[in-house]
Amino acid sequence: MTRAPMSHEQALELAGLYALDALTPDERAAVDAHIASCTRDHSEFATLGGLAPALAAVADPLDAPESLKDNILAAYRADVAPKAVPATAPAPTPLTQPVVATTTRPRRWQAPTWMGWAAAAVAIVLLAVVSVYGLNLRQQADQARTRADQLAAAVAAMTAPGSEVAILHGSGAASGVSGFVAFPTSTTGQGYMVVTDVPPLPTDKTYQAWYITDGTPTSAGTMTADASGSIVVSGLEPLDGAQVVAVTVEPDGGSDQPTSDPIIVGTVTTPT
Amino acid sequence: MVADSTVTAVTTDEELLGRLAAGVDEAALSELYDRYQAQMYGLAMRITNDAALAQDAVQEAFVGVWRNAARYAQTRASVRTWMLSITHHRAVDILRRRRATSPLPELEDGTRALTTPDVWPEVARAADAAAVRGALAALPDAQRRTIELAYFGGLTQTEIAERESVPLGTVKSRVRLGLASLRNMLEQSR
Repeated sequence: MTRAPMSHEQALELAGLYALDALTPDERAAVDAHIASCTRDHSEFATLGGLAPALAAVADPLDAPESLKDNILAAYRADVAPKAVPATAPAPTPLTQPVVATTTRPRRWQAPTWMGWAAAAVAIVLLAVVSVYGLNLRQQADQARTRADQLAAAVAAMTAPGSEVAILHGSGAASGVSGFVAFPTSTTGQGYMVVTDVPPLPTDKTYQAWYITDGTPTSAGTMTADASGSIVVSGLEPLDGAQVVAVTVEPDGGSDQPTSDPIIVGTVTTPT
Repeated sequence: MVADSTVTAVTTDEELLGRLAAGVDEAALSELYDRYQAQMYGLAMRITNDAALAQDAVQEAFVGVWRNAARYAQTRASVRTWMLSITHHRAVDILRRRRATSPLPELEDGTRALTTPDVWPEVARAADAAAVRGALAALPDAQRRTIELAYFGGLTQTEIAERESVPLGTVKSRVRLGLASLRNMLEQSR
């Protein structure tokens, strides 16, 4: 809605709301983009921005429960500790290894776009892990570690030569979605799906993945996004020659056949 | 980098943040917590009105503090202002995430979760609660209410316009004018 470039006057009108953090992320991004690209005077942002801390002083100080300090210091220790892959991981694969391996052994199919996408995928999954970790530290630290392992394996599968891969793109309500499905040739029946920025669904709906072979869909299972809008699935059924992977929104529990148009789609390729 | 792990009452906030930026330093974090937890928690409670959400906000704010300690040097604000700004940002974010069950949810932006807001040098007497309260009380009712809905209510401009039954332009100008008056009053009362 607010995608059109913002005029100088429009940006200035929002200076106060910007200072008070009362803009949506989109609106804030539009203001930031304007300030970054406009050479006119934006000192009002600094003038009004200096007032937010004044307002903070109006809130009466209140001692937090003592347990909060312990939680925060524990979170700090966990966050700054060297990140190790837990011994419980089914097939621990360092996140960077596959990328390093492919860059030191370049192959013809590694066109810049492909490698660029691989790098982007690593960035996306790292962000997903980090944001999950940040969203609700207390409860989700363990979950985040497990997901990190799954993601590492998924990225390894995607970047391994000979893997079957579908790069997923969203449309409509899911237009911000990106992700991939990957099936390494070295294993059977071990496919991965990673999707980020998935819109939240009402509780009576679910995401369902489909393999489409010659126009006929076969269910690949239902899946739920976590609080940060990420889906990470391992152990996907083999593609069995399917050319397309799609995701639809279905009634909770899933459907035998798709009951709505796909909102996320990718074509299966084998970049060899 | 090996940091001096001792913290005394005369260690400045800036030194503590500098130590966090330089390497692992739990003593520095512990001291920053002790100095600011009450202001941070008080602010988070005022915004969320919920002890569990407020604790989450303060905890997430501290994650932002230690992960972005190195970026603090780029701001010209005090450590107090910087930390309270992050707390505000996190508390508002948590509140909005919570409200995202409404029919037209705004997409959550996970990548934004750990970013810190831009911070400017505060106006004179920004930390003087009595002076700020006095200045707020002197504002026209509509301006004060709009500013409070935005800052403490965590509402966006559209939500404020709906709640107040006024056009968006009115919300923008009330906040802009109200903040400008507030600033004048606080600078003159020095």
